[in-house]
Amino acid sequence: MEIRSAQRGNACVVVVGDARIDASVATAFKDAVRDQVGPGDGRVLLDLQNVEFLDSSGLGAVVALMKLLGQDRRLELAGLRPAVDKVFRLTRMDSVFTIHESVDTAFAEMV
Amino acid sequence: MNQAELARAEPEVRDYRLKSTPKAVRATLRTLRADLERLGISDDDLNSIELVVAEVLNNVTEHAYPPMHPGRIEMQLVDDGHNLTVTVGDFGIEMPGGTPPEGRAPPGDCAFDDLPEGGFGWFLIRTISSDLRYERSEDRNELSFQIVLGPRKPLR
Repeated sequence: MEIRSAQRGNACVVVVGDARIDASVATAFKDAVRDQVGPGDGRVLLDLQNVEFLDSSGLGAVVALMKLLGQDRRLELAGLRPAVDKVFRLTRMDSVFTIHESVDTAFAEMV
Repeated sequence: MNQAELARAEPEVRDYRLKSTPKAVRATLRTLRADLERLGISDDDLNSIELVVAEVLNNVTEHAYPPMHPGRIEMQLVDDGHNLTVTVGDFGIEMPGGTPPEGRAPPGDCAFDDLPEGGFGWFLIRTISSDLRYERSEDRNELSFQIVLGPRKPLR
């Protein structure tokens, strides 16, 4: 998996470089993101703009990551493409996550 | 009648054969998407189709065959102009109870720690597809379903 992260102020932005989060990489994806997010209490944003496809295993991995980070450091999502957005909407997980149009809007909203 | 509709006067049929491995599933999904794109199916429908087919093929790969001993999967797509009918066959073990799982709706309001990390697959299959059928005959599983197709992209 190609997972990069950058600190932006107090927040950690994790960028997924891969185009697919599917059954064959879901566990590797979860582990790679977890390793990128250091301890702390800043915001954590998962940038999914490069992801063209996510299946139920990928969704399960994103939910697992949110639970790992806990309620006080709620995982936020940004840059959902139509195919990815559809999975969140159909399963109603869009109501569980804070979803931003892009990483930039996620920070603009904070000001 | 426009070009796209004329082209569907005869159903378009596509057959696929693959091994039940994650790698083969990925490759098949890529081919399938390209094939359906050529038939003018819209991006929104392509997203739905790729998702449902991925869920079904993943289930066969993970549950019908032992992961260490992959087997054969046969898939046929029929585009009649209005619906896409997908039939997936395998020679693995029978579905438990002889019927596909219900796929319960994810809970609307549930405690943070109780949020489900799995079990979305059959819910997605049942939500997107219609006319889901499963049949076990001798040593073969056959699952079929339909997806209603929306307006097409103009053919180039």
